[in-house]
Amino acid sequence: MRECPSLLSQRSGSQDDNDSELTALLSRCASGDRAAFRTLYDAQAARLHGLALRITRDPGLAADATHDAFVQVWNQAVRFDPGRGAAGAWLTSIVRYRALDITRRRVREKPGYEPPEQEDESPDALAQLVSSAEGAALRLCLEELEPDRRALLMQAYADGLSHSELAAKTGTPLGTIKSWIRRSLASLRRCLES
Amino acid sequence: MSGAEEDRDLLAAEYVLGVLEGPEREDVIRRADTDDGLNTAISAWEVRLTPLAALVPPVAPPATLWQRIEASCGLTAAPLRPATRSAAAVAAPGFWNALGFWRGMTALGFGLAAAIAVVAVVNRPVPPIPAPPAEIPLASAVLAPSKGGVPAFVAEATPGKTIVLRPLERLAVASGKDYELWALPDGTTVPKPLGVIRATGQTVTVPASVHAPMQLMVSLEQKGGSPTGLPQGPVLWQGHMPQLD
Repeated sequence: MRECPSLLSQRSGSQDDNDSELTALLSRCASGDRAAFRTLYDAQAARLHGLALRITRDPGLAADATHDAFVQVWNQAVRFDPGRGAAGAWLTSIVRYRALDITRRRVREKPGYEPPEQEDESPDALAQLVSSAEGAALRLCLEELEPDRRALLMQAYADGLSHSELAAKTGTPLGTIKSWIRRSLASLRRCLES
Repeated sequence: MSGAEEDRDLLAAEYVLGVLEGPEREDVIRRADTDDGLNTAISAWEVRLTPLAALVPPVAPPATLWQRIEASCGLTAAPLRPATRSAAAVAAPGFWNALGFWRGMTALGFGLAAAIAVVAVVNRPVPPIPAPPAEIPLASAVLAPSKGGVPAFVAEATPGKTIVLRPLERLAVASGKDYELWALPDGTTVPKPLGVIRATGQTVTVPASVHAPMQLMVSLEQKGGSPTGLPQGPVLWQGHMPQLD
């Protein structure tokens, strides 16, 4: 497998103290340690449930997503590879993808389903990113983007909005949204790697 | 980065960001199963974008959620008795209800829906099939997850150039999937396929070219086994078979 050096440094740089604790808990979960699973739940459930609620915009669906994510964490803890990504990112991704799956399926199954509107990020939302070194670096790079492009990325990530939902919400043609996001992501990567 | 690598990396970024939908999103999930580069790119973007999760305030889940999770993971105090139930009924109902989601969900290098199904049913009482070999084994190996965890099979080499595989736990393989056994003799780098195996265990004939000491591995493959002759799916369990006496 091709390993890009910049990716490796990115990963190793993300292992902060909190992540080491999470990694240790996951490795105990992998050996069947139920107490470790409960500790992990107590430490992460509110954070992950918040993400699920924001994406699904429905308390019942959010509880389903958080439930499914923790079941997956318990069953797949043996497969968590700290060399591939940080523990916090792994947990975050599991719950986000699950919430996205549930929400997209709901929209597909109920074509008239309109999730309630989210409030837009407050202007100082970026300030919340500086709590970690990675967050601070990401903030600097996001600040290099045009404000409307930056808002698109933040909405997509936090609210789980798809290309077409972003297009509808902003009244921008779908193709334009796609190309804005692609270019923003490319700039973001260049900036984070520099 | 070449143009194709750049495209793949941005596709990974769009996937992690969450903007892909429908067939585009499913296509990435499918490709990530077999495309290591895409998988690596996804992991890297997950790490890059995760600080954005700090924008969303935590919300306490319902108080009953933990009990529900425990039940779905089979961690509750009163387990069902598998001796009187089918394999499907053994697992907690929530687990099987959730299979629908696993089918569509992100494997992303952590294995497949079926891998979860497999691990979820361990810790259940063992069906004693097949019986230990009549011959005294020459050597044996315990096959366990590579990062530690519950062993799944014991492999015993017999004088007749066979390996008898016995499950230590009740295992199930998801529909459309098979377990495949591989041998990697010490000092070699390419695993040799020993064939698809049943979750209930079986006796496998070892080709003359394969000798212990060797690593034995069980991977999760498409129905009928890997079409390429090399493991395509995740290695679920492995263990070392020492030199035969």
